[in-house]
Amino acid sequence: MRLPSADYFADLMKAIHAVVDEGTFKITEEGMRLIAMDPAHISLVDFELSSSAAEEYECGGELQMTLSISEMMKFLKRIKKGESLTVIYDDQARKLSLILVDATGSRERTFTLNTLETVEARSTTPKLSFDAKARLNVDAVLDAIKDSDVVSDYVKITINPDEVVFLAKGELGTIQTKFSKMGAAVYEIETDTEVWAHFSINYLEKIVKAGSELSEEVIMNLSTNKPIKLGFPIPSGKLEYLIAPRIEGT
Amino acid sequence: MPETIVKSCLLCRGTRNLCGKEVCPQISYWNTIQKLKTIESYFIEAPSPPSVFVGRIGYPRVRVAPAVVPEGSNVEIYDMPEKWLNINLNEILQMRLSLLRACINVDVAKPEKMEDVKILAASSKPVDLELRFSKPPRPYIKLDVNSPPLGPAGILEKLRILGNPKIPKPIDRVLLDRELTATEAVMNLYSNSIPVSHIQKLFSIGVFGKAGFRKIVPTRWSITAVDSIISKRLIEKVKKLPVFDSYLFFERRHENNTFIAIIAPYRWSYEWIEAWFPYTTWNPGMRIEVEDDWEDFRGRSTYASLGGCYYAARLATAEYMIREGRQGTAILIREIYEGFFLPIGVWFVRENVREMFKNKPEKFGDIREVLERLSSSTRIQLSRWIKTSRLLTQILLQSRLEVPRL
Repeated sequence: MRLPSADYFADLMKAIHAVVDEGTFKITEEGMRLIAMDPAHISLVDFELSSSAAEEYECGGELQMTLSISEMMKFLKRIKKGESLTVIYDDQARKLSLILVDATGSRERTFTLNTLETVEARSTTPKLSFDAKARLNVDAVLDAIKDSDVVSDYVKITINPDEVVFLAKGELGTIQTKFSKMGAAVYEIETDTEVWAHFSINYLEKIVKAGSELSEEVIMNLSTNKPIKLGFPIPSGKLEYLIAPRIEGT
Repeated sequence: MPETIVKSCLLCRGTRNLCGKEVCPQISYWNTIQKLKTIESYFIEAPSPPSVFVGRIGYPRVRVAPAVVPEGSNVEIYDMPEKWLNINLNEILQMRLSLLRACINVDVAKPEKMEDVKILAASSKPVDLELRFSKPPRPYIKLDVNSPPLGPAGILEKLRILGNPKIPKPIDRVLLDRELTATEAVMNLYSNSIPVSHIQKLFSIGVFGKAGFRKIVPTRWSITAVDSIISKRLIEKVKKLPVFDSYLFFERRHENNTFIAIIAPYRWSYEWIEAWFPYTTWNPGMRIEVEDDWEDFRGRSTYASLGGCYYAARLATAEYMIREGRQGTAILIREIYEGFFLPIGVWFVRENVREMFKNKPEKFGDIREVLERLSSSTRIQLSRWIKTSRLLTQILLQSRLEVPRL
């Protein structure tokens, strides 16, 4: 698989790393897919990159590749601007090669990583239905989450027909951010009722921050006291997350 | 006393002058009331447990101080906290304060200048020393949060090893190996059953690390460095173990302290909570002060706010899980009651938590039963524990994703 921008690939891996340290990719002719949960089973990432995202894509058949994302991130940090990336996986030797070539083609760097044994790969996500959907500007949402972090470890997210509200309460006081349906940060709200749930800021922040590197908008799907689905539209692919709520009375 | 002052004592513990006073009132109190006797001569021959203390004042020029026991028997245990749980605190204090130190000023980057000190620290049995002072020892005591209390000190002119040091084979091997990193050296000795206190002694005098990168490390820092290094490595193993299948509850009471451990049947996470009652070492105020710090499955990258105790208890917890072959979410609680007002060193936490984990745990199927059990053992109300503890709150309130198995 050859990608025009190595940076983009690094951002995608960072987005997966927001949830897991290691993961199993399912690779087919159509592209690569990964569904993985964090060890505490509080968050889940559902990632897909279609073969059409690549300038060149070749795959001999269906296979699985398990690797330490943390280890790979160490190398991806060394990427320079303008470099292209070719990813080659040797299933027999269980080795993944990442080849970086700079814009002028004068330097080629190859990083080979041993992959891990696949223990248990997940290919399903929980079946959930959502009562409300909202599309918002991702930076505005990230700001609201960071604000909440000032007073609390968790934040209540409410979606009603007119607005999306982030509310955090702590010993210091409360912080509330409201996004009105009329405002520039809200692209769409789709709901008849008011729904809400509380989420750990720790999880939310990591995920939304990673998503904000890849997408300008975040699609939130929510039902009261149920997991939230956060979707970040990316070209030729899919990046979605689930986070389980903290169960609170109100 | 205003709350800010109380709180800053808990965060400072005599090291950062957060209250604005030049000398910590808690420590100076003890410095002044203790009138110590000491020898007033330029020369002494006495056994060393062995003991070497490295100060942190003046870093990177620090004082390295081998110490001897001028009078007394059973010299061996004077510097071996692993053996102190059955001795009462006053005796430990007396024992420690009778240690006579001989100070040398050294640049931390030049540990190779101290060959004799190195041989001394490597020994597992007491070694007879001849100490010649340029200034006779002054009666003086030193109390520290992390390291055990220390007695009088003089300025060393010449040190001579009289007896035969007994150097355990694993230590000898590590000392000769100039390629080992400090972490590898620590883990090598630990897995060869060298006591943690001995590893810490060696760590502080700068004999670990690849040749050319070796440094002398103040005792205070080396104690926590070793607790942290070993527990970090153990946790990597713990995280691969199967999860406990029920809630476990441990309790231990010792010298005005209650220690409690709750282990929940989830993957590795760790939390350390201390509740200081009024008029205790780090809480001169009238209200109970509760502090906590924690890490999740991914660990932590910053230094824990509670310092040495956090890492000492983490080591004891990881050791327990390795022994059981299971991992869990551990919540450790310590209540410190009125009457416990000496900074005694983190060995007190490490050894008490180790001892606690030797007991048979009570088992529970439900977090609510565990909390009820907890409330019957602590003086602090359950609601305060729940409010303070990140991990208890998480267990109680955080839901988890349910994904159909393949």
